[in-house]
Amino acid sequence: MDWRRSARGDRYYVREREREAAQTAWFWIDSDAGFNWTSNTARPTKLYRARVIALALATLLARGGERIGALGMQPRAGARAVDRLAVDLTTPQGEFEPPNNACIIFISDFYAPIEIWRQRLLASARVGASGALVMIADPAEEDFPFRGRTLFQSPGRGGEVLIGRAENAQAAYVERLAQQRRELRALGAELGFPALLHRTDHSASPALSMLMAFVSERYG
Amino acid sequence: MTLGPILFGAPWALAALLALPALWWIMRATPPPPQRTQFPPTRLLEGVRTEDQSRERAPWWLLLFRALAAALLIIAFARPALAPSASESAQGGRTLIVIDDGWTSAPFWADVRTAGSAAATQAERTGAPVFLLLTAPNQRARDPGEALTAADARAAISRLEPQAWRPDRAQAAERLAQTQGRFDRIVWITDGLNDDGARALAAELQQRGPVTARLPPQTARAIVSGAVTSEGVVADIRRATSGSSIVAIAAETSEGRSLGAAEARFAGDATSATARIDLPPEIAARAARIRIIGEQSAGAVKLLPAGAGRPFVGLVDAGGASQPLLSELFYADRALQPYASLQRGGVRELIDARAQALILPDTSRIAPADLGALERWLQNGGLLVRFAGPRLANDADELLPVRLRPGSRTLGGALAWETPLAIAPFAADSPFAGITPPSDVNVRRQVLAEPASLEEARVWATLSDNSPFVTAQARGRGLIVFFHISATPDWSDVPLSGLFVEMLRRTLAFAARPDGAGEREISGGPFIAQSALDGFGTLSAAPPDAAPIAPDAFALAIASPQTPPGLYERAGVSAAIDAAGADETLNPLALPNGIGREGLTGAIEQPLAGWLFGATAILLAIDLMIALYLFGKLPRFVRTGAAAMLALAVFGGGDAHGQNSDPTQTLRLAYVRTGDARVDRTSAAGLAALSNILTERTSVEPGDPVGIDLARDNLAAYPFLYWPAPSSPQRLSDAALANIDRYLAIGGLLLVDTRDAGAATGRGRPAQTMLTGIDVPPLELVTTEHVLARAFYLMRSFPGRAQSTQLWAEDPNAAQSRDGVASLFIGDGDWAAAWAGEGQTSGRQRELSLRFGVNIVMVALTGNYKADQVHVPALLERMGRE
Repeated sequence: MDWRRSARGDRYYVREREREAAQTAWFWIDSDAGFNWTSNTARPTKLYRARVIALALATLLARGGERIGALGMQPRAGARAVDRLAVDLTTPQGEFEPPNNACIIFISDFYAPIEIWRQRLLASARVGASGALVMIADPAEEDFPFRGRTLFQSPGRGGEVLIGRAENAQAAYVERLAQQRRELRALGAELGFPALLHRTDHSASPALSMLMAFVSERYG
Repeated sequence: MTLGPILFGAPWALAALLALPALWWIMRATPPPPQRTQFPPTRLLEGVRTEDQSRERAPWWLLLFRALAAALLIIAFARPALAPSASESAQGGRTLIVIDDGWTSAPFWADVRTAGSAAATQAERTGAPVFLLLTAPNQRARDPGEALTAADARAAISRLEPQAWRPDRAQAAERLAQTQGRFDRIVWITDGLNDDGARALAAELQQRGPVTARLPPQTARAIVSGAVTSEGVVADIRRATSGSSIVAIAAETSEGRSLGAAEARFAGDATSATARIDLPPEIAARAARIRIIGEQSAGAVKLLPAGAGRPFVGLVDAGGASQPLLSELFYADRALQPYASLQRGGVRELIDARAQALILPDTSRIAPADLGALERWLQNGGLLVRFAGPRLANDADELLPVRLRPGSRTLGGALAWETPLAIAPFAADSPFAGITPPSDVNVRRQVLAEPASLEEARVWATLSDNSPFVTAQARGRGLIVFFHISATPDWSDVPLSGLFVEMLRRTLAFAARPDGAGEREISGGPFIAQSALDGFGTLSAAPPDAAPIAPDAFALAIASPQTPPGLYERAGVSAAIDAAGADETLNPLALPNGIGREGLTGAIEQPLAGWLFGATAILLAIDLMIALYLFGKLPRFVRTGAAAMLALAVFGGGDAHGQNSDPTQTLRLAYVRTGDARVDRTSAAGLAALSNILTERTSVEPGDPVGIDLARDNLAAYPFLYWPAPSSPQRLSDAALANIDRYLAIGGLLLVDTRDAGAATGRGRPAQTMLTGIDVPPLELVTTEHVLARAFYLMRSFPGRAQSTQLWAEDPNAAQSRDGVASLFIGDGDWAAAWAGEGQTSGRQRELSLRFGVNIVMVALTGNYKADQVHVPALLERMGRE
């Protein structure tokens, strides 16, 4: 009953309210040392590009009134939310407790073994979360432009592989990379996390619009 | 072993070249290290195998490059030498090296040494003994029969210095004749000049073996005579026809400064030339030697002993040297210094030292014993210059041109009619003719001659009333010149004027000049060496064992080991023995047929090992770069280097313009960083507040306050330094103490704040610890009379955090050197805290403390300027009255 309105006249009014539930979009960015890497210092690192994409998407979502947050931190809404997110994203995000019914954007290079990702995504899917996977790749990782006797070292982890003639290893590498991505896409499609690939030597906007499409599709 | 023109000192090392193919094979088998790269998806590569790993090899060009470097290294170890004439002269055997080591070889001594050691090196290959014959005589002559190893011979040659006299080849031939045996090779490194013994030595050498003479391209030249004349410095230069035809000479002072230079040219085949350096006489008189420019030999130096060309003047001074400025001789001394060699002493002493002229002032009495000697000296041509004075006016003696009236005549005195008189223009027949006496030079007092006695004397100058002023009379071959005034300015202005200098110079022209200045005397004591010339013509102190030379030997001495060239002295008179005498003959060396001739500089072995080692090092450096490149490190290495340099430039530059900018650009108040963080914060805040107040209220606009470290920072840029006591004061380091002392001495203002106003006394005063070791001046309590109380604001007290404070300042009497401005203030007000507004200070109290701060900064900047305000009331009152 809308008493205030009803008291002005003889008729009774009933006020009806619609529930406005803001959705929360969570961001998770890989904090692996290999992610903060570029083959050419003139290009941004994968991590940098990941943050750009995350903040751009966050800006769009915040404008739409949604709540945003770094996974594992407090979500916020409003004009200051993006600033807050930018700060939060600078702290490394490790393993996490997936929130219920959330939209989670995973941004990584997804070079970790597929089993790790299966566990992470299953844990999220189990509590009803869905979202998107953004695979960020450096051109060198795509094209494998190495020649000659080369010792490959994994940044931060300490893994080393010595290849006698790198150019001969290219075909095998490309095949393995494609295999990894195929498995990941299949996993993502199964659990409600569509995957998209972005190279750091390309513009971020196509990836961003695709990602926006994924997210808005989820919000309906 | 020789290989064409290349000669190997250690040929066996070449055998290592055989190992090169093995080295090649080893290097081929070793693959280069892999390039390392960071690659995040490395995990994906695990298990990837490429089976062609073993075929990965160093590229062929790198192998070739390394083999080349190895080969060069091996060849370098074989000690190769480029010897164009290696084939014929390499056959060594017993070698005799004859070196002409007189000054005539000094101009090309480096070549002589090189040729000598090259000859020894050639003998070294066969291991044969080397003999050394030096032709210039020496006190300890080397025995030519002594067999040396080549290394010893080289060492001996490298130590060899040319002698300051010419070779005596006849004597050398005699010394050689006393030895036995033939030589397989004789190398005669000669100066290219002939002498009487050259033929004898050549004959002796030819008997003993095959002789090769090494002749210099141009032979030495010599200055055979030199003199200082009225126009400047003149020198005669002689050369052999084989010497260079253009010559430049320079005159030098005894300290070696050049006075001037001139060039001369030997016309055609002429062997002598004359050069004249035009110099004013007073500068020419300072010449101590003449030197051929660019030729370093004893013969190219002509010594001008002190007094050559300068009259030797004695100043008769009866021991009045204790007060040089009051000495009567001061003015004469100063006037004559540029033109004559002066010596002070008694009459006898000076006559014995062969003074050409004596200057006898009034106070010096002539002792009866000296009188005879003086008269004899006058008869022999001495010049006696006398001045009048109170003593002479009353007690004249015989040695005067005129008879004097007793007493002196005072002109312009209180009881005299006359005014001081000027000097009349000089007569045309006077020695002073041509000098214009200045009109402002007056004579106030003089002695007068008996008119009758003027008949016998010559009057050189008169005063404007025709009374004689300078008179002269000949005595035998000598002359007495008498100035009728005193030698000091109390009788006249003359000694103060340029006229005095000119008149004395003209007078000294009459000083007896013996024929040829500096000629050696045959009688008297021995000559003692003062300094000696070496073969290169450098003058240095005489060796302590130099023997004195008897005068009769000295008169005839030519340069030799017994009479080495240099400067000698006897009884205060200098004389010189020159390396090249006036009759020095320089002729080209005449060599008999059968003696081989070679240039001095050509045909010398060039060792190549150094070059090869250098080339190997460069190749290895290039190889390192290549290895880095293959390794993948080079680009990053280069890039890192460039980035580092860029960063250095940017940050270095930024730093220079940033915080460490020139502290003199802006005025900044400074505080001492005590190490107590709270106190330092308070100081900074307090001074910042004070700086703001100063900027607001006064024309002083300080920058941000700066904390300084007493031990390290230069305090000179900060006029005001605030030093609060930390909670636990420490003694200062020595560096800090010295810094503070210097700061106080140059007039900085140091305010020491003990911060204990109102605190209970009894616990150790902090100032005691802080100031230990500082030179604290006497202090006085600052009252309202002090300039600090009126420098900007008028103040009656100086409150800080506490209401009543005590403030002490350096006593003005102690600060005399800084015009009474105190450098050191010591107080207990904790002012920085008050300025910063800390604690329970009321607004009024804070305002007063800030006013105190303004005042003390004003004192630091303006000193006692405002102290003059003390007189303002009096001045205003006086102005009102007028």
